[in-house]
Amino acid sequence: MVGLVMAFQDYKPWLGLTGSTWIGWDNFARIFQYKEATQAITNTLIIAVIKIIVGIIVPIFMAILLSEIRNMGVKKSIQTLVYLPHFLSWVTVAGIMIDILGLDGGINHFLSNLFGSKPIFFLGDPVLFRPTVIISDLWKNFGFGMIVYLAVITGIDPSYYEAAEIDGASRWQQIRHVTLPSMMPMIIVIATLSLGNILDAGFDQIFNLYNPLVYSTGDIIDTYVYRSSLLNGQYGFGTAVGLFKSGISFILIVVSYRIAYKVANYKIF
Amino acid sequence: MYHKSKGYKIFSFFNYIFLILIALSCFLPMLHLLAQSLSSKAAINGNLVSFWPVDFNADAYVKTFKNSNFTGSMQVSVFRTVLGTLISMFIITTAGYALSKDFRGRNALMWVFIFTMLFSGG
Repeated sequence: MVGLVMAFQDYKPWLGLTGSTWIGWDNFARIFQYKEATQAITNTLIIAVIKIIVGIIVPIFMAILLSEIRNMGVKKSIQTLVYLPHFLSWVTVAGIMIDILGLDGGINHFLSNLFGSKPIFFLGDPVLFRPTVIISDLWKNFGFGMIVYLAVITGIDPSYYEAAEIDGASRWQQIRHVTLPSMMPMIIVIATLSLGNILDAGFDQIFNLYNPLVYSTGDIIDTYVYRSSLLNGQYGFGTAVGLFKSGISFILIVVSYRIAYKVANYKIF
Repeated sequence: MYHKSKGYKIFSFFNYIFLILIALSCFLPMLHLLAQSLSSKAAINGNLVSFWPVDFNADAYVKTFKNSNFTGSMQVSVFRTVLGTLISMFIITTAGYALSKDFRGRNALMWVFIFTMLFSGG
């Protein structure tokens, strides 16, 4: 924690924390002057917000679809296969992604066989980089998020469904009026708590997938801090960006915690 | 009964296909990786390996486990995980017990913990 004072200094490693000159808020002012830094903040916000939204909706959708499968063997094996990628580290997954999405990789091979299109460079195209990142994150993590919702669906009292059926509700109406309302408290809790991650777009993933070609759309705060502070030696500036990020996240976590408490009566401490 | 209606049967059919495809999309890349790890180098470079090992051999594994860098870092990882879990479990359970009691400065102490969770030092 003491290292945070670097954010207010023109930090030089050979002078140390006590010897470096104090420059007040200059490092923070520079965040908004550097084009790269503001770009990184924008990218982080866009990627993280889409990730959060997609990462809530898709698992709910998949959990409902999976709960419609009656064959227990099929259901359990799909569930297991789907959450396998969650246990791989991003380094391994990035290796697979680079292999599959490369110019002569599986997906391009498939597309050119099907449509005869030119190979697409998914990881080197600034326009395609964000979708690639979001979809690969979804691919890796939706299975794990799904488990929570599946547990909630299994826990719903079957008598609600019986009552709905006697009242003549179709399966779709049962899902809309029984399943979704029963899942609502859990959805609200997860949604509000993920609000705190709004400045966290996934360092491991981006760091392993990006390259200078896609800095304009794929560079996020964490990777920018890494490059500016550790590679270029601007320790003070890097710390300032990191502290700025922590500050915003802190505010968001407090706010989302209040919302979760007010709306869903969820309380940790 | 809804699961006897025709519409539901059609939905169910497509649902099965859709979910099985999704499950395969999660599983096949891993199978591909496994097949590659068990194939010969020439077959991989020639893009011959899809989901089943070509020229089956375990050379890559033998080489990995003979590499002292790998076994060394493996040892460090295991050591760190086991020891880290034990120590943090001990500290967390004792701290949790203490914080569950009511005493002066409990909330201040709690906020210190929360604060370091959110703000990491530079």
